[in-house]
Amino acid sequence: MVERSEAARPTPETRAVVVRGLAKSFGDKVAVGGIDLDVPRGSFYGLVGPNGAGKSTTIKMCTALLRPDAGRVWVDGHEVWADTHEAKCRFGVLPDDLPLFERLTGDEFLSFLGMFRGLAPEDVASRCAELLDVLDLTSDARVLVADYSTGMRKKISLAAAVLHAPRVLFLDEPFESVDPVSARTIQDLLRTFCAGGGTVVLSSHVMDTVERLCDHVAIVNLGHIVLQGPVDEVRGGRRLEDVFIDAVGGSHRTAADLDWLAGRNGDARP
Amino acid sequence: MTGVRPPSTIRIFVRLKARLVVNGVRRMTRSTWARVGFAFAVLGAVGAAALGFGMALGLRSFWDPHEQHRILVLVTFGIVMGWWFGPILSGGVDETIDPARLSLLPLTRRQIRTGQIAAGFVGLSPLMVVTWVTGIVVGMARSWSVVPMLTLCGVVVLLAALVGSRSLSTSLARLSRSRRGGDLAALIAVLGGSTVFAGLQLIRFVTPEQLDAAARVLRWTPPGMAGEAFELASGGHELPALWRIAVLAAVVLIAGWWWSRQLDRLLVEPARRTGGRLDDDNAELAIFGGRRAMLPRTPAGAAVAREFIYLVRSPGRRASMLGGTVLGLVYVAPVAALMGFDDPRVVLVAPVGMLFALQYASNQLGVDPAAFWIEVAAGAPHAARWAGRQMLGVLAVMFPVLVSTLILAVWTRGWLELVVVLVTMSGASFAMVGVGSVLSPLFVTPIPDSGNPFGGRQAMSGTGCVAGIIGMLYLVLVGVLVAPAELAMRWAWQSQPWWVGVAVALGALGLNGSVWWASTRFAVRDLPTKELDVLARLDPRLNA
Repeated sequence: MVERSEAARPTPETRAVVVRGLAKSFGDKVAVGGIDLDVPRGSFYGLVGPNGAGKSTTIKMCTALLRPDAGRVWVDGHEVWADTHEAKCRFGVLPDDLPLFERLTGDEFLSFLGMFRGLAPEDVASRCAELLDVLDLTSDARVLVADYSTGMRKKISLAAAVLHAPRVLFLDEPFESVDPVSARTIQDLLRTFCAGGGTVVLSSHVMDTVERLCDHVAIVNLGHIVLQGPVDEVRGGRRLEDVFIDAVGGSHRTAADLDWLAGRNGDARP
Repeated sequence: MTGVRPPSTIRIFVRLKARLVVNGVRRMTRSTWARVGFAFAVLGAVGAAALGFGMALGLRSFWDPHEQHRILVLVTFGIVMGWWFGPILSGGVDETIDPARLSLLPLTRRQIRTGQIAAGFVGLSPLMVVTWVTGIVVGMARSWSVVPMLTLCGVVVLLAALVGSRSLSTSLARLSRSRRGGDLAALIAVLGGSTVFAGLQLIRFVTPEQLDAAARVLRWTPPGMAGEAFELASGGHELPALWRIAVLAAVVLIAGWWWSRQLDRLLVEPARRTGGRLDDDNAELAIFGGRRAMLPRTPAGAAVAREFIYLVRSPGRRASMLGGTVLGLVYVAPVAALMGFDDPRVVLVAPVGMLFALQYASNQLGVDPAAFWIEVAAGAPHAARWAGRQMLGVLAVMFPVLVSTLILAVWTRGWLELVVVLVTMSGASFAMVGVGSVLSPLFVTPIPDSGNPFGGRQAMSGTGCVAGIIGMLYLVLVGVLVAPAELAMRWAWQSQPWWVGVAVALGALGLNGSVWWASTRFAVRDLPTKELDVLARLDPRLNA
């Protein structure tokens, strides 16, 4: 059934991610206004919302990259802001803005991160090789990250996020600016991850992607969860995009109102 | 049609630059330190403008004709060279001259050029220089009849300064698109800038006769000729003034042509790959490839390996190390000049050469800030993270000191002092980075890693000024650590039995080692409580 944010509160141990009352403001602007989330283990969970809805801020707070003003987050049973180290061992994160170590090559970047994660050197070596191979980056493994295309940056970031075999993956707009081939590769990897019991929480504003990939979804608007639950139940037989637009409210004006663009006000075009 | 004419490109560029400056100031209100830095920058610029204007006004009243000639030649030369190299060395990035931001606009080459020239006069530093030149024009005007020629001279000087600066920065930007080109560009900028800086530092030690000699040479350079043109125009000698102005105008035309050519290429050429494919080696882990194979396979080893890689590959860091070393040497020179270059004790001031590298010790978390989130997200051991940064800090401060020490020791044959400095600094550098690890989360200032070796992005935001203030304070702290140890060691080794010298050396090393150990321990415990604040302050969106 579709849950409103005030719905039942399961204990953190039964869910991969549990968020309670998470809130963050930047000055007068409320980015996240006290949200609750329950992400079942093994699920592919989509956070959807318009630009500026608070998706990225929520993901940053769930991954200990941004301190919330209020609220608690549990990942794989560990409270992120009380037991940060243990929580970080259990999740991987792919932020949207992607600043990376530009002067390392792809394989150096992964091996550096593997060592930082405390993995055994032999595990790091084998995992790096396999991930680069699966993500079709082997031939570019000795190229600087600074020279990677946007899609390659997404893939190497994803490799960095899964390198330590986390239980939960937080991905902020993982398919943005990614070509269809790379997107398919990333989707396959994520499906494999979920099939193995992992949980994916991804943010996106591409409804088709969320509808196709996710089994659960939460619609975020103005820092609040408007709807959340299994995708089929949230859709209620309609397209997710229609449900989304109903939930967040469309613009009061449409492109059809732009007379000058449609050439209806008599202005000569150059 | 509305009938309203669109604003000219020049107005658009000027408004754009003014908006960028104003927005930059507004963004500073988010940080107290940046506000402090900006306030100092404004005070400095206004003070310098007023002082320069006043001195220029009094040029004819307070100096005899011979001195006027010398001052006009040297000052005009200094203005032009300062404008050429100053912005490059300060890491200033003027977004109105960034071709990447202009390439999408339907602008002709002429529109871009004129717009950028106009925009170049907007800002604190340009206004300061315009004030000086205006002061010279007003101060040298004996009558209304000479004002047009003086004004023409002033305009050509300003154009030469600006167009030359644009031409140089655009050429260097194009050169910087390849790795070797970037190094060459950095070398040109550092040598040019350090010459200007050295001139400013050493001018107070120069005798009037030496200044005369310099003016006699520089009067044959185009900017020096323009300096003479002010004097000649003031005396009503139009023709001799005019041909001197014409020489500088020719430089403006040539520089403008070259700038236009470089700009065209920058607009249409794709950026070349900065590093290309790197050679394969057989390391089991890429991060420990090559000479890094000796490092332990631990998080700390990985952190140190990354810093070694960045030292070699980051154009910004290479330029910074080179610049820090050369400018450090230039900074040591006047201090040594005060003591006398024949006194071996001048070697003891060599540690002053680390001034421009101190940020690597005092601002460890600000180095390559964009990727800091990865360390936070990975939950890497804090001791390991500090290990890499402290290693970088020790190398960064030791290298310029080593260069300065060796040069001064060879010059003065101060071998005892050479050993004293090396022993002292080998301990003090660790104490410095330890204390720096404690200070860094408190005063973190972003030093982004950039493909552009001059893209420090610290100019025009107040952060460069703040970094300078903190650097000076930190240097005082360093003085407290280094100077007593140096003096005690020199005394012991010069006039006491050998074992006293060894004991003092061991004592200094032990003291510095204790400072390093205690401060690093504190920093390791302290970082978890501050790293999110640091992360927020290093947010690339705040520092873009």
